[in-house]
Amino acid sequence: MVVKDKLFKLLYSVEKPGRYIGNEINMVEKDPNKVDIRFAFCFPDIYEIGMSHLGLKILYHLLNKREDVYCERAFMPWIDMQEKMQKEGIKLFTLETFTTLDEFDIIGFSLSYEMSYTNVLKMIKLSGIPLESKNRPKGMPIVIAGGPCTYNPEPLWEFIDVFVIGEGEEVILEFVDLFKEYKFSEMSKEEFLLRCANIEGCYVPSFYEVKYNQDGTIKAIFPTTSQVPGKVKKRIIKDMDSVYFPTKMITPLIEVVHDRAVVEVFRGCGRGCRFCQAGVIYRPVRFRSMGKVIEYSKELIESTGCNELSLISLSTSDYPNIETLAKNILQFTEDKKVNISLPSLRLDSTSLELLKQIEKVRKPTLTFAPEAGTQKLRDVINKNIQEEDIYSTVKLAFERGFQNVKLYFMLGLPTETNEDIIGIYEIARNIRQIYSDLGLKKRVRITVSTSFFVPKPHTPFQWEPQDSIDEMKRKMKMLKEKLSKIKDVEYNWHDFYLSKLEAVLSRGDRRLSAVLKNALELGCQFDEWGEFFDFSKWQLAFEKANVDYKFYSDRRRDFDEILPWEMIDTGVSKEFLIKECKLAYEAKPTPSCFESCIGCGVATFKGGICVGKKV
Amino acid sequence: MLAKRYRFYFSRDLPSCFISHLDMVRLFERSFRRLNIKLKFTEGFNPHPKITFILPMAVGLCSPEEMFEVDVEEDLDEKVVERLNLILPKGLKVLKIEEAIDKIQVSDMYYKCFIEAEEDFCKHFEEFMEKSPKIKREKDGKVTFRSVWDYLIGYECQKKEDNIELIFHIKVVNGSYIKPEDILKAFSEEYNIEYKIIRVEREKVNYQRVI
Repeated sequence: MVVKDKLFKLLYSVEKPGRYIGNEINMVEKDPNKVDIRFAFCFPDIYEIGMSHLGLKILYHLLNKREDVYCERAFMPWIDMQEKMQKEGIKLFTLETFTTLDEFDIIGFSLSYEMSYTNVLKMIKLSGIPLESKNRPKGMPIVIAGGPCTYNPEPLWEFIDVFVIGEGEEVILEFVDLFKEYKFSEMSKEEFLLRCANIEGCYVPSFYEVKYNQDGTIKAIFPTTSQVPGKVKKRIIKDMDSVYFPTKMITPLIEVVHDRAVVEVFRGCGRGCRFCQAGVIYRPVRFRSMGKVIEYSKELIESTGCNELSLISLSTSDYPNIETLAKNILQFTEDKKVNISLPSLRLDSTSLELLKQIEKVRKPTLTFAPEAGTQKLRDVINKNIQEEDIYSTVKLAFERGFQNVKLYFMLGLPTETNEDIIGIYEIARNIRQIYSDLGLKKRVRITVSTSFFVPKPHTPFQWEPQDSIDEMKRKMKMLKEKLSKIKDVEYNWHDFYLSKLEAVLSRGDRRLSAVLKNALELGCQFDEWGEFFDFSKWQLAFEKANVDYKFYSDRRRDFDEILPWEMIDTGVSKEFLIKECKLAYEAKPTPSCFESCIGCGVATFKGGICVGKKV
Repeated sequence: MLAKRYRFYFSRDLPSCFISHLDMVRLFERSFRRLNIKLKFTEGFNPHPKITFILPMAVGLCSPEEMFEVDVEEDLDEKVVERLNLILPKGLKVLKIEEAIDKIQVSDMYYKCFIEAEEDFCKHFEEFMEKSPKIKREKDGKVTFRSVWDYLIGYECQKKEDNIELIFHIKVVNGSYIKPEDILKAFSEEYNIEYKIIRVEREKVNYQRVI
């Protein structure tokens, strides 16, 4: 109660106090004294971002379904609040009961992007518990982490006791069961961790050792005991219809980034873009049946009252009969003035028709992600999108009154030449020309955004170097110069240094944990937020740890080099990734999983379309 | 059917007082949708419900009684009060509803602020208030000044236990008014005296019928 009283006195002097009050629609209330396990689910970013995250909400309600567990939430307080908390001596707290994190049994982090790593460390620090796993004896919280970043857990190995690899709905319950046994017995932390390491999908870094060669590459990764597996296999949910889904979902009182009710229509992506990590780690594609999607949509609208329902997946156009689904949902949403949104929709004339029917409230913006400027480079990355399709869709859309077009590209992809960069300019120019040819009176706005290619673990491009910062600058300037010649075109590019750091952390190894500690000490936090990102601090953090960051980002790796994440098994074989990498260099596309099985290896999981399961 | 306009009287206190005016509008829209109450929406490309708070509430403001009007496409009775209160978050409570058959506007209101400040805060504040203070207002790059006493009927400042309690009686002039937080800010800037707001309440709102 003390924390709550102190906190509420601070709320008149911080920005957006609604972030810190909890009290949301469908928030779970329990008596903490009547549960066996207190679980603090932590999202290493501000409230508005964390509460837009579906994974958090699923696991929050799943854990709270158990009578013996109370799962509460904590987010990274904004700088102004951190200062006030420090002044008043308030440790990081949860929004349900305003209990400080050091009083919890389990602290679980959701790792969605590498740039949140310093926030993870900061949140541990704000909780008042030791940063390193080895300094937290039994009785202190066990710190676990899940989410896509755990597919290369190594940069955080010192801080996290247990990493959960893959989808959490089943494994988290197994973990909690084991924890309960640990808490109420004489079991040591060592013994507990050893048993964790034997739950499929759990990686306990302290039972693995890494040896290095003289040149800094890895000589070997091996378990220090025969009692743990050599490789940790990811967990997946085989059946999307029987897996738990919360329909009485927690709904914020203040506006968050994605302020809407969300139903996941399928997991995985069968497209196989060669730069895309999500496309590998979430394999195989597993559809949720139309009946379930409709049922959940109805219940969510009833329980949250949201005026927007979003049907999400990695590539929603690939949902069989998406039109029928949309029509069925429209039957009950129209009357209630609920808008449907379909992010990740591949735009063509059919989907445009669909959008016209359902997205009545939307500002008319068309979004395309060709990722590369020429067909050759799109074949390299296996991005199956044809320029002609873009042009015909754009023409149709312009005729229907759309005035904004957004185009997303990547610079620095493998095999890229100046011609590919000029190709980006040409696409923008052609779109502008289509607009002029139509002789329309209204103004048009074409936005071109480029990010820099970041090679990601477990993808066919995991061995690729990233462009040097100078090379990034050169390419950006070249494109900027070209695009400035077209009327009504706006150009945005992603920060060079952020892209560089992301590349370092994505493919980093255990030596980066010292860098992260230095970065924390130097005051790095909210790195994802441009205003706080300071690469010079990071350079210092690398220097102090005697680490050359370019070793991780700018270097081409050999196919036979041992990669830091090789103890993690996504089900997709190394042979397949090498084959795909070679096909990339030949600019040869690979068909999607919907056309034929491409033998990536994930069929061993016996899920979804690999076993012929359709909607 | 023709839409009916209803007045919803409600109270707001911790912790729900820390949400913004727009959050309040959205929260009530969602609550009505959850109860399957058919609101009247505006026509056009971006339809939204007609929910109008007679006085928008600043972030942090608590009040024993506030009011909004909403257009509804069905008949409502007192039962809706209980139904809403079952689903509203802690700190928000609907008190009563009535059909809006006339037009009303706010004539004046009382605010109570609790602050933490130095012992002699009131002495300086009273001195400040005697000098016909002005409030600076920046909107769209333009700076205007409003005279506090054009909007203020009276005030009190007194020490109460650990805190200082300020009461302001504020009138609405041509639809606009000043907020106590702005008076305090102007004072603090001129006198360079620090204070910390602990709580702000709009104790009473007086309405008058518009003819």
